[in-house]
Amino acid sequence: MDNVNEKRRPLPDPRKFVPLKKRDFAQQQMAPSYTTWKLATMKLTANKFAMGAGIVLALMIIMAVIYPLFTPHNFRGQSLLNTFTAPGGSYYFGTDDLGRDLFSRSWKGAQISLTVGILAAIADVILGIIIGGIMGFFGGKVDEVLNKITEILYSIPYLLIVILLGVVLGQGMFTLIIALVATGWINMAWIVRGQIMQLKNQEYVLAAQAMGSGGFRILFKHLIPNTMGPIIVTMTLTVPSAIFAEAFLSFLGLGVQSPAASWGVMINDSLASWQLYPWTLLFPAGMLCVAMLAFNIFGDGLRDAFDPKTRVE
Amino acid sequence: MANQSNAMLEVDNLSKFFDVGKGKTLKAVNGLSLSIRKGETLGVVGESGCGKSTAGRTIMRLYEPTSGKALYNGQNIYDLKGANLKAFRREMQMVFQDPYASLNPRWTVENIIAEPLDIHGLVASSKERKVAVERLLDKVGLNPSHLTRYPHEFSGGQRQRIGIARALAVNPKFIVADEPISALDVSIQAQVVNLLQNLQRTESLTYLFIAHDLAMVKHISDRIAVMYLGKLVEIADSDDLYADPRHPYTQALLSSIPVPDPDVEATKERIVLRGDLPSPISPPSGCPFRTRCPAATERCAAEVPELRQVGANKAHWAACHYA
Amino acid sequence: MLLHQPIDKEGETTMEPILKVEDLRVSFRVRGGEVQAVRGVSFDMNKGEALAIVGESGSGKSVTAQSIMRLIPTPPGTYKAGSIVFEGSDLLKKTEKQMESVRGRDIGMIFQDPMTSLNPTMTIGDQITEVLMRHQNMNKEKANKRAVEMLKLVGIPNPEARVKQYPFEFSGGMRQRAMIAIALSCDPTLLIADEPTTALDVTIQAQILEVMKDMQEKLGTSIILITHDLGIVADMCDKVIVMYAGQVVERGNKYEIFKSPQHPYTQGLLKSLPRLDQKKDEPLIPIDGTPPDMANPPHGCPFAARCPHAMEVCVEEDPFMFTHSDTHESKCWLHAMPE
Repeated sequence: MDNVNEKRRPLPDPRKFVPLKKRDFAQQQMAPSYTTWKLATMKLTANKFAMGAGIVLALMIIMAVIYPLFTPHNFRGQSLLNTFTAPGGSYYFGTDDLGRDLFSRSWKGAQISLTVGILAAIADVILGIIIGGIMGFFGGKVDEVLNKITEILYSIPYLLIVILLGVVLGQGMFTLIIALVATGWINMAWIVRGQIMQLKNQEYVLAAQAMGSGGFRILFKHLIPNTMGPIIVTMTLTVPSAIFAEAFLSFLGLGVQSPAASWGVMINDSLASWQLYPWTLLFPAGMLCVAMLAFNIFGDGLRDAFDPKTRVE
Repeated sequence: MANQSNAMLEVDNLSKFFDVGKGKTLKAVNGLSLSIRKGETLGVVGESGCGKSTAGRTIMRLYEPTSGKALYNGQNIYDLKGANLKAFRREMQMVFQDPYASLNPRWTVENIIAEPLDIHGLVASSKERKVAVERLLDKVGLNPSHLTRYPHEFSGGQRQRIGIARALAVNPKFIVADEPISALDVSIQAQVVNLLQNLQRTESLTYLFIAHDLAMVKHISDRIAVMYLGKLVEIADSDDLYADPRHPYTQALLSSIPVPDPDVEATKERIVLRGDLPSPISPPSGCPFRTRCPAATERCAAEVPELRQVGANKAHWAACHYA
Repeated sequence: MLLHQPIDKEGETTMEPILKVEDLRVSFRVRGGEVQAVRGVSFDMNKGEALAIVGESGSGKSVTAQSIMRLIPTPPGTYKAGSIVFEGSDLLKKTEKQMESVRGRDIGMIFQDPMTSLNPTMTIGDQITEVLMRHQNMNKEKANKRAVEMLKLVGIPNPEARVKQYPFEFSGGMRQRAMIAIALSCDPTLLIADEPTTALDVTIQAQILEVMKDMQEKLGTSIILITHDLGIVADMCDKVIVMYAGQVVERGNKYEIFKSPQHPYTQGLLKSLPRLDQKKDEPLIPIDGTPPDMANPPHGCPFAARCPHAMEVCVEEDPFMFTHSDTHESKCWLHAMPE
């Protein structure tokens, strides 16, 4: 038995060959505890691009609210003596063909774009969760009928809805939001439906049923909280597409109407003059690009943060 | 089937079919009858697709049956509604197979274990709730201070203990354990089985223990039911079933299990079945096992064998013409 | 323990092992550190032997097997140290290109899940002929004939029709048979089977084990069987290696391991298993606690925290490997108890 085949080391001290007194495997050591939310926050803060984009977005939102503090000019005020003023003086971004201050118009445009984007996304989420939740949770006939309805709605081009709503409600920001939501929620509903269908078959849902839990408790306590990750990600990616849709429709004259300010309206206004007075295009187009880029980068960062496969380095 | 008067649960001709589209049905459980006495453990074994899990879930009334009855203390559980159904849910609880999927990943251990208490309104204050959860954690051998932790921080065996603590929260009388150890490592399985056995004594529980590991089922069960393609093929006291298996499927199943002893393995005659399990969507006519049975005759194709008493022991039943 | 000495192709007797793994160390980089999956594994095997590597999840048994095939993705994995000498050359020193000609030709492998290890878009026959045409330079016709032969050999009925079918048309047991046919089609010297029957039902498992034993007899293939099921080991294998926390804690022939286990972990495993041939009333004796975290392995013997015989020395120093017979060794301080 004492046939040691490992001669490299000397045998340890014989006095150590006594039963171990202190044993504490009941007290399992555990690493610090993280919830999915905490972990997602940690991953997000570690992602420099996403954080940069987040800061840009935060500044943009703040500026869109408080910009009047920085300028004496009103976004509507025309000054025919000061048409096409180059950036400088009290006109930080210059003026347009009617002598309106582009600085206040750009930030007013930001206000409108962000409002449209965020309100549309929130409305999408609410409608999407309710209808997608019902489709996924009840399944069967309910799902079949709702699915057919959403497919029909999805097949109607949203431009058509915008134009029709414009005729009925008059053109403007709220018509635009309603038009965007009318088609946008369907995507969200399908995502929620898919998630819930998948989660519904998890054993913990069965376990809740076995405990005597009712359907609505299961839906709101177990299913929807577990779909929040994908919902938030979809939402942050809905915002830039809504912002772009707003700019695009306003550019075409189907959305916000001049003299109200919107990036799309301003780009349209600059069409005749931008070759001589490039700042009339540069500022609204630049801000539109920055906003889109920042939302997309931030959305990507969020998606990675909620993805269990990515890790904090 | 034997009608013991002291049966706690009596399943009578229970069937559960699933519609799989194109007018086809999957007969997951097909005319199952059995009874469970108070305080005993009935093991249900069979291979994948034999309907043992569906049977467990239908008995829990997680599925509505296609036909048949299940009498719990004399009352058909499929007739229960409203408050009576909720009361039944307190009597019968379930332990699940997958310790990863059966706990909500976003909830703390405290919320997971207290969920049945919340549903049935059994705790008045958050302090009472916490004390109850700590007591349950202690009962299943976990550290009571872990109640703010999340499921992913525990090992498989510890998670299964959390699942057991949750099942015990409402002081049930009857537990359906659906493959509770098959996802666990060998050295952990014995811990969980011992815990279940100890709890059976201290909490006076009755178990329906579903598993595919016949050795473990034999260890924990008083009686064993063997299922094949949705049907009960043999039921007997566990030692009886091992010593004197009557159904050819039970015989093959027993001989298929490798025993961790080279001497036993060297001398063992193994019955290796031909072919695969037939699809439960289009099961064979007559005896479901006849396509793989080494002793099948024409009678087996023509006639469905009835479950009948075999051998000396009154509790030993088998569904084979030649048993 | 070998009663007959293996004869090599020239007819000379030789005791040179076909596979010799020495001090293999494999680690994986993860968030905030390194998981040491395999920590100094050594063993060797002779031609025609069946060797079992037994252990629980996380014991490093699968990583060891995949290392022999050089299937560990690097990164995140790294071969930290050691050598794997197969038929005279070190596999860890080979290039990826050279390994490609070893895999499938000299060493075959079958996996736990036959569905994911077969290509769903190719017929079973094409998957066999592909291997044959690459490694054996067979023409299509000859390879097709061989594919039918192989399917017949592993007990797939009606092989002429079956070669033209896709994996989804096969049942789980049939897929695993097809996997064995692919792995053995080039007549490899060594077959590595990583939990080959874990996903299968017991009656199907019995069929697959039968096929593997049959193949070993007919083709003389050496087999490394990775499993957690000690019953299968007793049935199939000659030699056994017991792994725990990335180390070999005991090795021996199957009688030594099952009849006189020397390491408390092996003893514990055997005592915690219920046996069909035992009376019900004997309680199981479980191993307390849980396996250690391999990102942060404990000092000394990794099993000490769960060991009923743990001594002070166990938590301070890594035990030596003690020899009990020519074939039997165990890594435990109990065998160095002072008088």
